[in-house]
Parts: sequence; structure tokens; C-alpha cells
Amino acid sequence: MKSECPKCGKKLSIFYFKPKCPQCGCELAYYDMDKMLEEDAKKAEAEFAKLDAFIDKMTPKFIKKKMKKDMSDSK
Amino acid sequence: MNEGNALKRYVGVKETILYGVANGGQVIGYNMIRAQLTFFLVTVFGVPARAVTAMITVMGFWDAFNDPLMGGIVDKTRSRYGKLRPYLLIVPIPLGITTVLFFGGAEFLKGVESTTLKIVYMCITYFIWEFIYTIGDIPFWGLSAAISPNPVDRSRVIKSARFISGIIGGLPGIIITVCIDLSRNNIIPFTLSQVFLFLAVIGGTFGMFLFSLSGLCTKERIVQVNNDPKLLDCFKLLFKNKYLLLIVLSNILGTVGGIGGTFSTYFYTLSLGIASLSLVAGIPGTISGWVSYGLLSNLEQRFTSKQLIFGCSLSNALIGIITFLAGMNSYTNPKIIVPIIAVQGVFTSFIGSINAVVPTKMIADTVDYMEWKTGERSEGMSFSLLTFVGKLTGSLSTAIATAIIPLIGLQEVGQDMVLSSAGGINTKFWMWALITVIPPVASLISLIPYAFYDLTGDKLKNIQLELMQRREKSINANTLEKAEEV
Repeated sequence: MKSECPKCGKKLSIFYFKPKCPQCGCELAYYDMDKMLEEDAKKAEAEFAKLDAFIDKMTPKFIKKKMKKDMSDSK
Repeated sequence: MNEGNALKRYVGVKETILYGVANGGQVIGYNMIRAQLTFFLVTVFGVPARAVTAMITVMGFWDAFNDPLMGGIVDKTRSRYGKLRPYLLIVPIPLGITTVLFFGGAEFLKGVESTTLKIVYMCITYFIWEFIYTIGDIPFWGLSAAISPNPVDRSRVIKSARFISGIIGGLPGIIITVCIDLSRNNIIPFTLSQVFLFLAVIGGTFGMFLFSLSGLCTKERIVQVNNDPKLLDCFKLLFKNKYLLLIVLSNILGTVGGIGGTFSTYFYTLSLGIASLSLVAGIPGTISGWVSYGLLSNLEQRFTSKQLIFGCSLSNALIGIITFLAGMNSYTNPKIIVPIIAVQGVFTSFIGSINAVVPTKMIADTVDYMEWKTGERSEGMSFSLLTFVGKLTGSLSTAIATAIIPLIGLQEVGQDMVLSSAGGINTKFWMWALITVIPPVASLISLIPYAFYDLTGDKLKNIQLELMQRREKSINANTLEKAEEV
């Protein structure tokens, strides 16, 4: 939770709930939404990559072999 | 927007898990109330069963007004934290306090003989608890539709919420059942009212701390187009959403499916003699329920939501019939009945996990449908109907069950439920039927509305893809505006 306006940098109290910045009037929840979504997508991909690597590490070899075989059969 | 963008994941592992953990904390108090409401009020608090039935019925009607109103208010809300998260940041504190007040009633009013005073206390605390719970519950489930533009992300957070809340939220049920036996047999030096108060304090502090994570650690990622929606317009949207109404109708028709829970406690206590046996019988089912969450992604790839709903209901009824027939000659013998119920639990829990996720995901789909059709998203109203119907059917099924109690020969003596001495009714047989076959077979009627539901497959995919393109255009337009400002 950011405590300042993302556009003009005005400091906002955590109890300030109004949707627009009192100084510049920008939409606080949706300002730079595209940038935020891009950042979130990158972060999510990184987290899932870590998770996939962990699951891969924990999966026994015989299961991996079977999964590979199933995948090649389905191709 | 290309397909690559459409498949982008925006909700990371941490946020997905924390959303689930928050739901776990939220349902600790809720599960205590749903599972133990009648038992606590009648047996522990000493309120007459008739007063409990009346209160539950009245509250059900109040919810019909309260929930959509709250949904409309949520849809109208615009704040710097979004439209749903402000409620999730505030609600945990009062909800924790009211949980303690409700379950502490028997201890706080210890020594009070007046039944009227107890009824008044029960009605006030339950009303306030229910009201505050609604203020938190609608935004919580609404967030599952607004947390990401990607339907796969939404499905994942719903699964996380159902799975983790199944584990954390299931704990009070286990602890209470054990504590009831321990307290009744004087193995622990606490009365039942002290046990309930203690568990309410845990639910009201630890549980609500976890619930607050839903406001603190999540984001809303869908722009709400209309900046000043009118409350009446929010209500009107509800009636334009035919798919949502079909889901709601189906849930209402399935009310009888929930009556088994009430009789389960009495069946284990009066027919089998030990309440804790339900825990033993429930272990395999708990595990299969977890497995089900793991396999659900594969099932979702192979079948549409509608097909899953039909498959689950029909399988559930078939399993109920088989279980009933398998135990109909030995329903008082724990050595035979406990394994039979355990096997039934394996299948019903597997199905239950699917049923916990798919309809919620379908409601998120109907929110998308409304945005596609009208340009307005109605997370608040749509999920208020889900929570309202959940509470209404829960209340109705409890009320139906409480009304059935005397009809099958159960009798309230003092603060205990006993088998009636009047002959002619095989109470134990009826209890067996009521926990196995009657609920799943009777709830087959809930499939009728789904026969008219076609928001699935390619139709749904095309709608969601078109919405993503619209949103991207809107974001690009905002970016251009910003660039011009600079």
C-alpha cells in the first residue's frame, strides 16, 4: 500500500480512502495500471518459475520419466 | 491483444496462497457457527429449539435484504484501495469481537435463568455477527473476480481459498467435537460453555489476523469504468444477468442437500454412541478432498463447468443410494458403519471440492458476461447473491432439519437431545437415511436451471477475449492521455 500519490508524490495518510489525489486529482487506484500489470506479470512469472523448479526437484525420477513418455505419446 | 498477453499470469504464488490463508482465517468463526449453531444454542446456551428455528428463519429473510444491499454498496464504492479491499482492511476487527461475544454468551450469562434474556442476547449478537460477516464476505469473494483479468488466475485463487480454508477452517470442527467428548466425560476440567468461549477467542483473534491478509496482501487489477454508479442501477444489473439468476435458482433448489450436517452429530451421538467417531470416518474424505483440488485443473481442461456440475450431482446421488443400501441393516453398528461412511466420504469429499470451486468460478464468469453486455462490472451484487443464497440455504436447511427433529422421534430433554420414548418411529433408521441418501437425491432437482446455462466453452472464451481487448484499448487510451499531459 503506497502512502503517496503515484503522480505528484503527495504524502497520503493510510486513512485517506478517497479515490482521487487531493492535490493533482489523479485516480490513485488505476494510475499507471499498465505499468503495474506488467510488473505484476513479471513478478508472477518469476514466482511460478521458482515453484515449477521446486516441484521438478521434488518429483521422483520415475514419475518424470512417465510424464515425458506420456507427453511424447500424446504428440 | 494477442493470445500470449491473454494468457499472462498476474497473480503470483505468494498472493494466491495468502488469499487462501485469509479465507481460512475468515471461515474459522463461520464454520463454528454453521456447524455448531443449533448444538451451541440449544444444548450449551439453553435456548429453546423453537426460538433458534425462529431466529434462523427471520435472519434468512433479513439476509435477502441485507446481502444485495451490501453488494450494491460495494459496487458503488470507489476508493484509493479499490472498491473491494477497503472493506477487507476494516472488517476483521469488529468481526473478531462479535464472534467472541456470540460464543461467549453461555459463559457471560452464566447463572442467568431468564430464557427471554438469553433469547434477546442470542438474537442481538447473531444479528450483528451476521451483518459484519456479510460486509467482509461479499468483497472477499468479489475480489476473486477482480484480482486478475485472466480467468486462470481467478480459478487458481478460488481453488487456493477453498483448499486452504478447508484445512484451517476444518480445525475448529475437529477440536470442538473432541472437546465436547472430553468435557462431557469430565476428562478436561472445562464446561462446554468455556470450551466454546475459548475457541471463539482463538477464532476471533488468530482467525481475523489471517483474514486481514486479504486486504493487506492482494490487489484489484480490473479498472472499474463507471466512476459514479447509482445504487438502483447496481440492483438493475442483477436482473439483466440471466446466467447468475440460473446459478442462484439452482442453489436454492439444492437446499435440502444441506440438512445432513445437523443430523450427523445426533447420529454419531445417539446411534453409534461416540461423537468423535465422525472424525475417524472423515479422515479418508479429507484426503480425497485435497487430492481433488490437485486434479481439478485437469478436469477443467477436459470438461466445461456445466458438465462438471452435472457429473458431480449425479455421482453424489448414486453414492448416497449405494451407501444407504450398504448400511441399512447395520446402522447402529460402528464397526460396519464407520468404514462405510469413510468410503462414502472419499467420493463425496472429492465431489465436494469440485462443487466448492466451479460454481464460484461460474459467478466470476457471469461478472465478465455483464461487463461484456453492459460495460459495468458487478462483483458486489453478483457475489452478494452467492453469499446470500449460501446463508439462506444454510439457514433454511438448518430450519428444515430442526423442524424434522421431532418428526423422526428426537426429543429435547433439558439441554440434551434424546431418542423419544414414544414408539412407532425408527429414529435411528431415519437418521441414517438423512445423513446418506435423502439430501443428495433430493438436491438433484437443482440441476434443472443448469440445463438452460450455456455460458461455457467457446462462447465464454470469446467473451473473455473480447473483454481483454477492450481493457487493453482502455489502458492504451489512458497512457496516451498521460503522455499528452506530460
